[in-house]
Amino acid sequence: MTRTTLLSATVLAAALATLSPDANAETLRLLTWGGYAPDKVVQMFEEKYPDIDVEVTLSNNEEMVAKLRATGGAGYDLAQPSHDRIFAAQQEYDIYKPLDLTKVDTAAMDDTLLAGVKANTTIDGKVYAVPHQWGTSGLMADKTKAPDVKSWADLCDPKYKGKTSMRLKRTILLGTAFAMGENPFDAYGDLPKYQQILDKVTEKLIACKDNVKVYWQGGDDLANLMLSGEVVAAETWDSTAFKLYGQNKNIVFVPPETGALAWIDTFAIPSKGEADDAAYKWINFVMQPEIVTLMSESTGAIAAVKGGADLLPADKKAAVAAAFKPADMANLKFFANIPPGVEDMEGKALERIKAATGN
Amino acid sequence: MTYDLECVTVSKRFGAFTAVNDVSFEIPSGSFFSILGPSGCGKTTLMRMIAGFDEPAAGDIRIKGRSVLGTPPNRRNVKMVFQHLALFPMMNVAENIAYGLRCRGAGKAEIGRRVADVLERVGLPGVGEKQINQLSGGQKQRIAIARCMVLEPDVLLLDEPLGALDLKLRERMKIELKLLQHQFGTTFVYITHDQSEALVMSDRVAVMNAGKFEQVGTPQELYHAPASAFVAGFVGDSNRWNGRVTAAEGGVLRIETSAGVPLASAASGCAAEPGAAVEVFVRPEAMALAPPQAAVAAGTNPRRRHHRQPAVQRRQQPRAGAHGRRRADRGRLSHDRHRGGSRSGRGRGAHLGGGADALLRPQGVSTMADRNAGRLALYLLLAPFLMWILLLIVLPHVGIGYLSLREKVAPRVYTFGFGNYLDFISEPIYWNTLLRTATMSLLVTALTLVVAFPVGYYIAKVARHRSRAALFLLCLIPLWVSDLVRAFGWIVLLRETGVVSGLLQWTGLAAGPVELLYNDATVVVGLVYTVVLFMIVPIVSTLDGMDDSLTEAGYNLGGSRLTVLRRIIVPYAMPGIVAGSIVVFMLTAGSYLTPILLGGKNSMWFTEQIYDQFITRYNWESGATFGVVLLVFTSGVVWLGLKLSGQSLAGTIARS
Repeated sequence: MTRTTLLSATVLAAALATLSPDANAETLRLLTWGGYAPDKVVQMFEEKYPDIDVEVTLSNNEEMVAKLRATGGAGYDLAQPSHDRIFAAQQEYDIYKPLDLTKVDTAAMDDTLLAGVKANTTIDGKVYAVPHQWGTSGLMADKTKAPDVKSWADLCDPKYKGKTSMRLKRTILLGTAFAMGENPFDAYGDLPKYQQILDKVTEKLIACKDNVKVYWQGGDDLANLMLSGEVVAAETWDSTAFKLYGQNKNIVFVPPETGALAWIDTFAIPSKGEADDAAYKWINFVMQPEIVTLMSESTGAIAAVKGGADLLPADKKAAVAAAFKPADMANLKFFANIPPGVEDMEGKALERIKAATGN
Repeated sequence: MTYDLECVTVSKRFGAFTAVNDVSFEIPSGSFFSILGPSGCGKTTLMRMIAGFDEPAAGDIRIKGRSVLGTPPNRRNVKMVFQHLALFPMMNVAENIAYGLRCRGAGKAEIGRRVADVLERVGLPGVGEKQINQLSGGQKQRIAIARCMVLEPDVLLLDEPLGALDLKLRERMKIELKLLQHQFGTTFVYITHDQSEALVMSDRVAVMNAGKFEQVGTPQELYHAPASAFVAGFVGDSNRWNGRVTAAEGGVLRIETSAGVPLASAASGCAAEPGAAVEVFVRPEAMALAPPQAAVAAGTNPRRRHHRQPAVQRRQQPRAGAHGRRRADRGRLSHDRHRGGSRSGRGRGAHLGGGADALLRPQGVSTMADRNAGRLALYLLLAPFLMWILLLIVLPHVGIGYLSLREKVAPRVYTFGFGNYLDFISEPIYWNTLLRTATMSLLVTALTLVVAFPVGYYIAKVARHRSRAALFLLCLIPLWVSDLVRAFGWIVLLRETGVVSGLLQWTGLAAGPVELLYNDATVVVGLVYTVVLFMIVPIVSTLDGMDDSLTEAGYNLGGSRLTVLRRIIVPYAMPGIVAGSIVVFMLTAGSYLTPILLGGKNSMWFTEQIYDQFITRYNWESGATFGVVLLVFTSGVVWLGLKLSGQSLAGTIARS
């Protein structure tokens, strides 16, 4: 054998070696939230479908849209944005493809949530998302130090000066608007009116800056602040509050009197996704009751399946029971679809608050 | 009689080694005194003690009759011309000369007058505005002398200042130095290993060997009446034989060399008994060749007499003076020839030259092709980096520039124009954030400089090899840990319920919990720590290149420690300081994680603003605009910094 043939044979062998495992296996590239693809569940899925590799990228609502926008909907096969983030993003950037609902086990899903998400994400008669899990944003308080917190506005109560925290994102704008007696979702159809509401909210939150210790960035630093007692009342995701309840029974989730803001995280397929079948398999897999419990344990959120709350792990069930009365459940305010332009208006309001110099 | 300089039994030891051993001498006013000796004989140590850079272990040094022991160099009226002259490269000629006067606090008008005057006296009127690197070797020499002489020193020390000059110039400068000394009338102490320099210029010469003075005398005395074998061998050119005295009679010694050649010599001052071993030195000019038939009578013919040195001296005495000087000049050349062991020294040199030419020629032919191939290879090696720049810097910026000019009218409908920039300008939030970020970044840069400069100076000039490496590693540590981990670590330390707050309460320094996080000061401190290495490295690399004699010259010319730092070390390090500041400012202004994690609710950084545009508002157009604004703004600040510090970008990059 000459050196050339030896060389080419080696190259060929190497090429085959690298290609062969991929020849049968498919990769499912998941763009989702922290905790939404626990190792246990991924492992079980890969055991059931040995020819599918799951690749997980953790993100949040804003970054999911930014990433998909940057690539024109490529790079991921399944994304999990909240239900209110799909309509406008799809209209503006065309980053998702319509779902084939015949491939989704919709019968297992909670009818109300499914109908709600379908209504929110239908464009030209095509449905772009189905629900996965839901939860709320509201307040969290240490009962021993801030027993009477019940409204978004209480975070700005001078009684708790330097001991409250919030996340400087759109949730606090909406919550504060509700606390001021407005209904921001109703104003989405009338942007000038919405701007007026935003201006009032901005003013209120700038004045409130002095009261806030720090704007939290993620669940971990919020948990730290609460557990150490440096903060006694804060805006929170219910899942974070439920987790802390497990460690300190005095820290409870408080649905605001104007209603906790409810979000539904969905499944949506990016427009240039390359593994649709695997994506549908994942959706149906994680909606099975035994997986739902595993998932809820990891996320702290409730699955959008029939009887989802009953499938929560025992400790979470107790935390939900301690936080929500039936009246609170009836009072939930689901985030309305964000029409084009609103994100820019809200972003500007947030900038104003962030840049304002408190005292 | 008072002397300008007296040394009384001066000694200096370094560990077990005695560098200067019990040296005493005195120099009368206005004379040219040389200390001549081979390298390592202790002459530089002696000079450093006179200048005040070293203190003697024993003995006394007096200038104008007053002991200067314990007087720091900048308070001794002894000025020094350094071996490599130590002209300050960051000052022009006039500033170099004015340095010492300014240290003395002379007025501006006086300085101008005296600088012009001394330039006139060294024969270089009107060169005041020239830069040092625009001067020729000889001009630099004269400026170095002028810089000292303008201070009217009691004694001027010169440490082999001609060593770096080429042969021709060296010959000319010898004469010039002597003339300058004559003209100023100042006492010159000249250190050299080159006997021709010492013999040509000096009124008196001290020959130094192994820490001791062997002989002090006029050049003629050294040449014609050497007091020791070392002086006889070191000064001038000699033929040298080992031999044995065979007879001593009537003032004549008869000697037989080890090769069996009989010699006769006048015995003046040499009381050797027959049988004693002697060394015989014979000056070449004392020998003459006789016709062959006369050689038969070798040893008896008075014209073929070989003389010991006293005889040489006797013969040369009437011809001292100008002739003797020329002889001494040639001494160096003949000395070389002697050492080569061959009479064909010059011929050999020429031959070598021819060989070198022959070697060069074929190389010259082949290098044309070689060089082209080398160039090509180099370009190929550069290519990955250039591709990188193109793909990751240039193209994205083209994209950013394009986006910044695009205006969104409705979803997926765009026009082009400067609207985004107008939006930026018309919204105080944005440029306030930008100005705040810039102010904080400048603060970080200044603080980093204050922290980094002493460290850089220590590493470059003081630290030994191992502590130098250790210090560099210490400065590297911030880069080992990821931004995120580091910032979270600080949060744990600095928070209200954290370690530091706890310590403060425990020690009673604080009454209650202290929140050390979430304020501008913490952000600044955190950023300084992160970027300090980028300031230290360029400072070390500029200071590494600084000759220590520059700082010594700074002290010697009368500067205090602070003056030397302010006027010499810092200006010298300026290119490094500017380069470091540019890097630190850019890194700081463009940092994101640290300000966000450590900054409080009022500490908004401009990069956060950019992030919000892209991610929260989905407004890529204004995000791109902000990006361009930040780029232009930081470039502007850098340009301003270069202008203010008087550096050029190319110069800064080249020198650091």
